[in-house]
Amino acid sequence: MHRVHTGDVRLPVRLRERPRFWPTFRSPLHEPAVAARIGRVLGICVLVCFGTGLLSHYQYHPWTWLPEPATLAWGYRLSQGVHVFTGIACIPLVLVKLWTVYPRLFAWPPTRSVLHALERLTVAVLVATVLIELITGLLNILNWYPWPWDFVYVHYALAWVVAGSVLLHVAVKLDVIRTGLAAPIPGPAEAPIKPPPPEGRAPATSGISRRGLLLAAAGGVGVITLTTVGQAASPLEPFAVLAPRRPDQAPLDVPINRTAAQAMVGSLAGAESYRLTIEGPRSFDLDLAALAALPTVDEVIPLACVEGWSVSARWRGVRLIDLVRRAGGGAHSAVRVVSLETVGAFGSSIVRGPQLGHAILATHLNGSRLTLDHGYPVRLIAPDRAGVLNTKWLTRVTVL
Amino acid sequence: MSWRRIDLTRTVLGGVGVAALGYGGWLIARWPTHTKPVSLATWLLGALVLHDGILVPATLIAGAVLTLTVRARARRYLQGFLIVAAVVTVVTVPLVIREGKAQPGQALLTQDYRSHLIWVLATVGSACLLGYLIRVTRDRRAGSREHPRTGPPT
Repeated sequence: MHRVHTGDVRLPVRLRERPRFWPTFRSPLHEPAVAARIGRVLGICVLVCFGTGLLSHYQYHPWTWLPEPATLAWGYRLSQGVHVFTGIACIPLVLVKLWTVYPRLFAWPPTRSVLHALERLTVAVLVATVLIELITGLLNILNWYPWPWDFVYVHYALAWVVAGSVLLHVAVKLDVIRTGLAAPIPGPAEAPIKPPPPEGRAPATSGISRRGLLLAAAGGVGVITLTTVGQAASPLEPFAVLAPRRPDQAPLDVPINRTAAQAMVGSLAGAESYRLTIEGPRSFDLDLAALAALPTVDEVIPLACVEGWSVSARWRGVRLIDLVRRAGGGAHSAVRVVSLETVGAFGSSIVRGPQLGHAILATHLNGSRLTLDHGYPVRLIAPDRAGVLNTKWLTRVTVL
Repeated sequence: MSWRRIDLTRTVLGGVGVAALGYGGWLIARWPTHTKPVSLATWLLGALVLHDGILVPATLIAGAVLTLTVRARARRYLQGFLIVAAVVTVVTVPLVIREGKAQPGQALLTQDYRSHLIWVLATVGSACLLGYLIRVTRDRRAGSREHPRTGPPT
């Protein structure tokens, strides 16, 4: 068979020509100048989302020699807010970016070499994983899990695949990106003003401009962010009409991730026989009256959930470190706080390092006695700490 | 930037990328009871097919229909509105589906998302319409400056 040389592989002549039925795309909206500009913003958002995601992962799996700080009480509130809202912003950006580069799917010939085929495969991996990562992330903040796998494991593993694929994609497309970013994209303002055509239809090419598409994408991101970010950025809460959470509509102005009914602790937490046990070299028990008689502190500490809602709240309770010292421990101790909750993955958590000195065993929230759903009779609250690690319905504190 | 520097950037980015990608893949393979790799692969493939096979072709067809039916100047604003409306709707549809399905007391999904979405889209639509009307007015003024009307013959 007669063959011609194209690039790095010899193709049969009949494969050299694009078949007649093969789709063609003429719109300038598919040009690299547009794709590179959206891609630049998207790439930055993905990497910021990945980085803040790692910070969140660290909250749950810290190294013992590098405990979480406590000085920036709002640290996790900020980083997780950025994580969730850059993630949500990525959804419109990905959709527009993939739309602009859609013609690449029909590049002819479909593959030029083994390496080219491999590169196209990594693009397929990137597209599939970024779509699933973003969609499942969005559904997670709605507590909706219509898939058979464990969300946390897959979200973490796919994050590495997405971030790696983005870097690889940028490496492969580096010269296309440079050329694309260098190419100007005139908007309608720079085009000469023409009087409207007297009659008949305008030419097919004069729809939305390349700059118009970028503006529309930015508009989409802006509208989505403005109508959701208020669940974390309190001043914007009145605009949060599409946010899954509204702290101002929650009991005691703080949303609840897990109710007493879900945790199956209602009867235990409300029982008259309730005791808080502090275990250590000098163990002791506290009933509700003894707990109420202890000196308390009153502090404003934000509660920030992994799902991207957060709110500042006033907490009153006993300093954890005071009880730890009384039990024979100290500021160097690691302390496990254990809930009455026996179902689920967050029935206990460890407090150590700077957070131990600032942690409160709270009995009051925003001036009222804790409700059962907020962790009655007593819960942990510490600064810069993922919401679910502020263990509720405490029954035992163990100095390790 | 010289080509040598580009090659270096490319090698570093590509190397780190392949390592991270491989690590993620290894994590999925390492925790099969948690990650359910077969189901996950099905979902990944499904996302590709749905996106590339249905979602994008549908937008291309919608674009082609607009090109045939709406004049260019109005189409620009209509396209802008439709892009914003489409992405806002995509993000909001799960909330509409799940509205009111959370445990009572959680303060989760308590809003009337369907009505709120309609109001948000109406606001965006009004802004686009206003932009279009301003454009029409400006074009008309520019047109009359370029071709000043001569007065009636005296």
